[in-house]
Parts: sequence; structure tokens; C-alpha cells
Amino acid sequence: MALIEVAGLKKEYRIGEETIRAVDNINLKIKKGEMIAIVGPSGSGKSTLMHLIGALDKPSKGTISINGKDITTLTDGQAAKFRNRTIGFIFQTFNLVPTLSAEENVRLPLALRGITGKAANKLAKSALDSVGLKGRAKHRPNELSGGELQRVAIARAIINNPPIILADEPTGNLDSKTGVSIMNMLRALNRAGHTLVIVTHNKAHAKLASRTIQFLDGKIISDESTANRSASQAGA
Amino acid sequence: MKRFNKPKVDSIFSTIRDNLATTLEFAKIGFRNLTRQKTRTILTSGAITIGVVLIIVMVSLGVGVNQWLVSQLSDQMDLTSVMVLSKQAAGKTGSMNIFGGENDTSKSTADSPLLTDSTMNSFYDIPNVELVTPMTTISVDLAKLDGKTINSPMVAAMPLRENDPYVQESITGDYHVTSEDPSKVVLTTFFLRRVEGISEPYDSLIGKTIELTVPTKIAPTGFLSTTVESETLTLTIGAVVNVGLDNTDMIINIDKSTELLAAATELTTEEFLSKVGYFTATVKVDSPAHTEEVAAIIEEMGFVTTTTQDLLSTINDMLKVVQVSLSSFGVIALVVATLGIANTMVMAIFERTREIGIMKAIGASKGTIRWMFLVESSLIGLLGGVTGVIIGAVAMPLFNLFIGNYLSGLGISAGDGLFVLPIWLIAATIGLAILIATIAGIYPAQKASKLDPIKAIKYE
Repeated sequence: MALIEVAGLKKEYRIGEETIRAVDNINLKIKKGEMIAIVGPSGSGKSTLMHLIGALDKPSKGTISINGKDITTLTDGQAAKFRNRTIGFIFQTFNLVPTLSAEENVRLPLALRGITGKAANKLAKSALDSVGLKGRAKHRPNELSGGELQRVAIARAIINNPPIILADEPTGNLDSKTGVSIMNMLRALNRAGHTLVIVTHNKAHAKLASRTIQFLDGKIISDESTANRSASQAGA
Repeated sequence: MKRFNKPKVDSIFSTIRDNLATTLEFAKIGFRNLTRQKTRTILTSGAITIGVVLIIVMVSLGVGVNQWLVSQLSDQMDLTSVMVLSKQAAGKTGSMNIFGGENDTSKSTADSPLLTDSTMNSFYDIPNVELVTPMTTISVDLAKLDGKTINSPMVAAMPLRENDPYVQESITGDYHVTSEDPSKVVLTTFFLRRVEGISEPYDSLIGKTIELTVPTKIAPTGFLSTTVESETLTLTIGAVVNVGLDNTDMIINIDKSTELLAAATELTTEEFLSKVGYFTATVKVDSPAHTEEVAAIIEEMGFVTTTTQDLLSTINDMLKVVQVSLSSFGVIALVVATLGIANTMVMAIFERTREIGIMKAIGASKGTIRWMFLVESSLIGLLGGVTGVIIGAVAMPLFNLFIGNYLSGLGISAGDGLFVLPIWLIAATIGLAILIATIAGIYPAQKASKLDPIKAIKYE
């Protein structure tokens, strides 16, 4: 059974008179332990799909099953709990709370599930250790570099040990060298058992994934494992 | 316009119940947010502070004045006394001066009983009555003592017995003398403080004489009356007493006063007593528990009674009204403060839209966001409330000092102070401040909880 199973998924927006189909009849299966790169031009529906899988948004039509359970019918409270336990979000713009230190940012998902105090401190410390930010725990976001910010965001995403990590252009705001190190970190998470879905514009980064799905106008136009693709495009 | 949904109170309470630790974490974050915008927080909670200070000062003044009055009155007027007036005297709107105005009160209440010697005796038949003291007052134009003239002294006439409850403190001499001796007078410290050149100790005054100019014939002139004829009464000072808050200047023999009053109305003493009677009587009972019972029996006999307990409860009621009206200013200030808090919190939503989106992405439900904002606005209330209580608690001893000094200059003891800050008031005002701030946060919290997380995350 696929970990993530998307069937007949549609998401339409109305802007004035016009109806925009952000996601148009998508069918997709993602197995546990896969690392998926979603590529495609801006506005092709990549981010919308991520939001739908992450239960931040509800589809106009279709179902999304995670571990066999449809998440499109969850109530607000259930969806919140689902995001907290099952999904780790990583964003292009890091999205840390500016008033909180690195450690406090990392602790937030724990606080939301009722883990605070020493237990939370210990977990946050080890998460920050695992992304190489041992000495930066007390720093505020404005005292950290872009790469460091994204590593704090990764620590926050993995603190509740979610099976699925959704990364929306995680290297988009980083220089190439830092971007590579972040991608390596995500690959390490994948090897550790997390299923990763990464939206990216960077073709080199997409190649690090086990499978690449290409979007255009809300539709999947190609879906191939990277091994095949790199073989077929060898020498290009 | 969008419909404003009532926040789901149940979900709020379950949030508290389930995640107290989380709530504390939110309180920490909320506090951080408040310290981030120091000026705004101070200004917003300042409105709460003003309201709290107003309420605290007004209610403490009410509580303090109440305690002070009750203690003063309980000291001065013992709780075992029943003041008795005839209905005629009571009908004269408090005026005891039979010389003043038209003497026609006997017509309207002709049937009601008078305070005569026989009624005095009948009071003794009521169980638990210990002592009955009749009293009259006479009008005196002038008093002359040691060559000093004092205008219109208050002269009362009554028998003063051993340990008489009317006497607060015997200063010098033997105050019972006036009961037997019509040529003696007992002066009060209240009077002597007003006479220039006389100061404590008052021992040297005993045996000296005081001259009183007593009108014997009066012509009514409008509201006032003019003395047509008067006589000079020379009395020997027998004692000096302190009668507390009572404004009586001196006490003379009651038979002497009845004689004077009778002469002025061209009656014999016997006729005067049977037609007019004594003005008031004080009936002392054996214990405060019997006061109301005895008062009721006397009322049934056709008299008007007042007890200290009546007076205290009347004063209490009046003070409560004053207290409530004064503290309502504070409540108005608090209500106005809610507008400020609501505005601050709505502004905070715009500033922290992205943060709200992040919180939702990492697992905050609508209820959680709502709760975060409510915690934060209640913190504004807590901050304003505690500041207000501190300001009030610091200001009160200063007020007490100034007012105490002022009052002691007037010869009045302010006791423990006129501002008394009880613990319940501190708890209640802080609680009220938090409650009001939380109410102010409901709308912003609701608004914040409804933000679309995707738009919120992308919000610049």
C-alpha cells in the first residue's frame, strides 16, 4: 500500500469571473521511503499539491489517502493534529517565528502536542545537534545565516519524527553551496526513513531524488524514476 | 459583512484542560510578543492600569471610610442604647428647639404619647432595660467664661449617673453633680477647645462660674426668632467630660432646664412636662442582642426610636451607593480600555499573520490560535491590573499620611487610615482586569483563528 495515494484530485480557485484550476485531476502514489522531486514552472500547481497533501488546504474534488486514511474529510482540529504528527513542512522562506530563539522555534511543534519543559529541551537539543547547530540554540532568527535558518526549519520539521516531510523549494533562497548541503541533509533524512516530497526549480537538486514528477498547468506531464531518467539523458 | 461567530467556549476550555503546559508555553510566547512592542504594550495596558487604580482607590476609600465610621460610631455610641423621641418631636424634622417657630406640632400628633416622667417609668417595665435617661435642650444666646464670650452654645440637660454611657471620658471633677444640683454645669472638651485662652489641664476650671444668657421671651421673625427678654443664669463648673463626637457644649440639671422651658412658654413645670414632655430619652438595655427587641416594644408604645445599629446600617447603605458610583468610573475606564486592547490585538494579527500561518502549518488548530491570542490579551490585562494594584498600594499609604495629618490638624483621628486595601479587592480588580482584557481579545482571536494558513504563510 502506498503511503500517499492521491486520486482524482482537483483544486479550483475563483478569481473574479475566472476559475483557475491549480490542480487538475491528479492521480499519484508515493511509497514509503521515496524521495520525490516535483518540478515545473511557477503556477503549475506544485505548491498547491503540497498544501493539499499537508492538509493545509482542501481539494475541490478527489481524495488524498495517507496510510489508507482520507485526509480531505478531517475536521480543523484533526487536520491540525495530522500536520503536527505526520507532516514536517520546510519552506523556501524558512518561516521561523522571529521572536523566538532557534531552540524555541524547534520546540513549537512539541508544545502543540503538549510536550514542554525538560523533555522538550532534550528533544530540541538533539534535533539541533543533528542539523549541526549545537552552538546556535539561543540565537534569534535575525542572528542566523540563510543556511542556518533552513537547518533550524529542518530541525523543527523533524522534531515530532513525522513520516512525511514536505519541502517547498527548500534551497530557493540559498546560495548553491549552502543549497547542496541542505539537499544532502534532506537525503540523509530520506535514508533515515522519512518520505520526502520536494518542490524544486533546481534540476541538479531534482536529480538527487529517487523520482521526478513534472507539472504543467495543474497536470502531471511526466513521472519517472531518476535512475531511468539519468540513464536516458546520459551525456546530456 | 461577515457574521461574527461566537467562539466555541467548550473548545477553549478543553484546550486549557488538555494542555496546561502548552498554555504556559503560549503565555511565554505572548509575553515575549508584548515585550517586543514595549511602548504599545505600556500604552494599551496603561488604560487598564488607570481603570484599576480608580477602582482600587475608590473602593479602598469606601472600605476605609466605612471601617472608620463604624469604629468611631461604635466607640462613641454604644450599641445597647435606644434613642426615643415622641412623634411630635420627630415630626419637627429634627429640631428640638421649642422656642423657634410656631408651636403647633401638638395639633397634628395630639394623640401620640409624650416623654413624661410616667412614660420614663413605664420604659423600666420593659424586660432587659437597665437605664432610662430623659433629655432636653435649651437655647442659649451667649456663654461667658473667663471673660470670653461664646455664641449660641449647645446646652443639653440630662441626669448623668455613675458610669453614664453618654460620657466617653471623665476629664476632671465629678460629673454626677448636675443630676442633683441645679446650680452646677458640666462642660465638654468639645466646648473648651473652642474657648480661646483655655487649655488643658482643665482642673483649674472646677468651681469657677460660667454665665449663660437664656432667652425668656422670643419674637418670631421669619425663619429666625429674636430674643425679646432674657435672663442670665450663673452656674458653677462641676466637671469636664469628653462626649466624643456629640456636639453638646455643656450639660445642666434637667429640672432646671424644664423650669426654664416652662417659664418661656408661660406654663408651670408640671404643665410643661404633661403637655410637651422631655425631648428625647435614651433607653439603655443590658446587651446589644436586646436593643432591637426593646426598640420594637417602645415603637409599639407610640414612640419613634433610633438605634446605633439602625444608624450603622443606614450609613453602610449610603456608603455602598457612594462606593458603587465612584468605582463605576473605574469600570468605565476598563471598558474603554477594551477598545484599546481589541485594537492592539487586531494590529498584532496583521503583524503576525505569517506567524499564525506557521503555527497552523506545524499543527495549531483554530482553537489553538484563538487560545494563543486570548492568552496574550489576558496578559495585557494582568500587566495593567498588577501595575494598577502596585500604584494603588504605593499611593494609599501616602494618601493616608496626608489625610491623616490634615484630619489630626482638625482634631480628628483617622484611625488606621481612610484608605484600606483588602486582599479581596486586589484579587477582584486583577481578576476583573484579566477578564475584561480577555473579553477584548475574543474578536481578534476569532479573526486570527480564521486566517487561511496558505495565504498567511505567504503574507509579506
